[in-house]
Amino acid sequence: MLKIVLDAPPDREGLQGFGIAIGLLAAAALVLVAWALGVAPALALGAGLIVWMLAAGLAWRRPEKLEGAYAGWNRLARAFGRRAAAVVLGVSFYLVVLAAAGAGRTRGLPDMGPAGPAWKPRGTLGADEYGGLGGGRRSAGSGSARELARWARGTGRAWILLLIPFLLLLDAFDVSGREEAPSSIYTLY
Amino acid sequence: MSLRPSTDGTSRFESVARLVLATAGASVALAATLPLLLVALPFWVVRVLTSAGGKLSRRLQPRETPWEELVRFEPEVGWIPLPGLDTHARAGHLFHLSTDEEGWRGPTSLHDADIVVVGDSFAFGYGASDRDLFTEQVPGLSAKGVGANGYSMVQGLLWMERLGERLRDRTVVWIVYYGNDLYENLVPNQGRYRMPFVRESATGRNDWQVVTEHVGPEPWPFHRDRWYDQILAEICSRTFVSDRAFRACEYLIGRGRDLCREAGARLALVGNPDVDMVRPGGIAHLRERSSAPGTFDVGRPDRELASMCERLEVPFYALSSVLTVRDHLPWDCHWSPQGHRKVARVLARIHRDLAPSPGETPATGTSEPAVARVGG
Repeated sequence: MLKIVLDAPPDREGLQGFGIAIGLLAAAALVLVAWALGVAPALALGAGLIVWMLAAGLAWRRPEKLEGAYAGWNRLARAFGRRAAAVVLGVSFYLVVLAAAGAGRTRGLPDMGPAGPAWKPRGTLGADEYGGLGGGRRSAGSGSARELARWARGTGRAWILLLIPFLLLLDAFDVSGREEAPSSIYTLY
Repeated sequence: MSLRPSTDGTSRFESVARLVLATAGASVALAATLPLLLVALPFWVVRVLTSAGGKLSRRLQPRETPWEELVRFEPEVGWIPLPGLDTHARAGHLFHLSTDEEGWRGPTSLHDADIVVVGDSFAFGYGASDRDLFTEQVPGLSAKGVGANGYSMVQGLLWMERLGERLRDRTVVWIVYYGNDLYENLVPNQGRYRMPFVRESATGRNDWQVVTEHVGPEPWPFHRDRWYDQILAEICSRTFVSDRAFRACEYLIGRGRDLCREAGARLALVGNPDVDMVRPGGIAHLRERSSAPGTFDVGRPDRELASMCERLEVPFYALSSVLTVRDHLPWDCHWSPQGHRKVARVLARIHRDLAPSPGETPATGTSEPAVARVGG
């Protein structure tokens, strides 16, 4: 799912895109405020256009001037992302997982866990099963939502599929990416 | 409802009951997260628009040529920039570059140059468009860069050897970039490219030799990303690596001095710091990466090179005394246009020190930076 933090560190084009984006948001906000204050629509749109063009012009000519704003926006996004992820995690655990487990138990349903350990011993694969040193072959759809759905239906745990929207949100709010440039960003010195 | 047990013993009834309870819980949970989604909306909008704007900006720029397409294999040396290039490359930003019929940057020919600058990507002028190139801005003098991205000092030495007589009566300025040159004098590859290196002979300590037998067009089979911050941190500390790197460096400078003497050229060495060595916070950043932080000293490369140059009677100039963070590109380690202008003035100063014309005084308006000079 689309993340809320911007790529860091930004390159020149990333900063230019950010300038265009922030300019557009600022222009939209200006137009809305002007409209709410009863300013003539043409005047409001004109002012918005000027604001956007100024921001886009600065971004185009001197994108490095936007580095601070870009970093500030990302700090804001990270701060929000961390809190939002905690909320999503808490809400999904207490309202979905515990609803399925705790509430189920109060109605006399058995524990959700399997009777024995989930570990199932397997023999080794044949040599032709290995695609190379990087790992063995994977079947089509391996690790996909379809595979999860197949497993959930087969084991009677279809409720787990209800966690998917929350997992997607957690992915969107994930802020664990690198915050500094790797030292290998240069092709060759 | 069937009570047929599933594969692990849970009944259909239990499964459905849980599904119903979890659905109710999930509905409430989703409703609870709605305010979060509203707050997150501007972040998503900015991300989408930033990505779209960045793509638009890239589309409006000329085609970028990756470094791999700018070079070709060169026996013994490893690689050389292609001759007759007229293209754009990227160093955080796009810049225009052209090469002469030999593959070197800039329109000045080696024949017409007063100063020949030997080195790596800095000597090549990577990151600067042709109009900003330092070799084109040396006041009253003409200069030529003989360098390519990824070159170590060993490749610089091999080029001095090859150019030989063509260096006669010229000032040869050898730029040593601390970021990787000192370390990569000792290794046989730069990524998948094979490169010449130096190793100590079996005969004993401080008896070095240049190794080129492995250099060929075939990709080097064993390579991994190098973490240059850590390498530089090691070079700035008292470690086995730095001790070896400095001894190899002294051997190479000595060989370069002898070659220049034989060719009738004047050699000067220029120490070029990495941007982290002049950036606020950069020194602490490097110290953290050292395996011996107690011995870390950001001035060590300058001091070691100055002292070996003094022993070898080669003038040494430290760019760390003139370059600041603003003299480097914002998204790349190479010099900014302002840095190129400063280095051009340093070259003029070096040429004046090494080959002063009778009664020569610095030209008006070309204030030369107070670059630290040692030895020679």
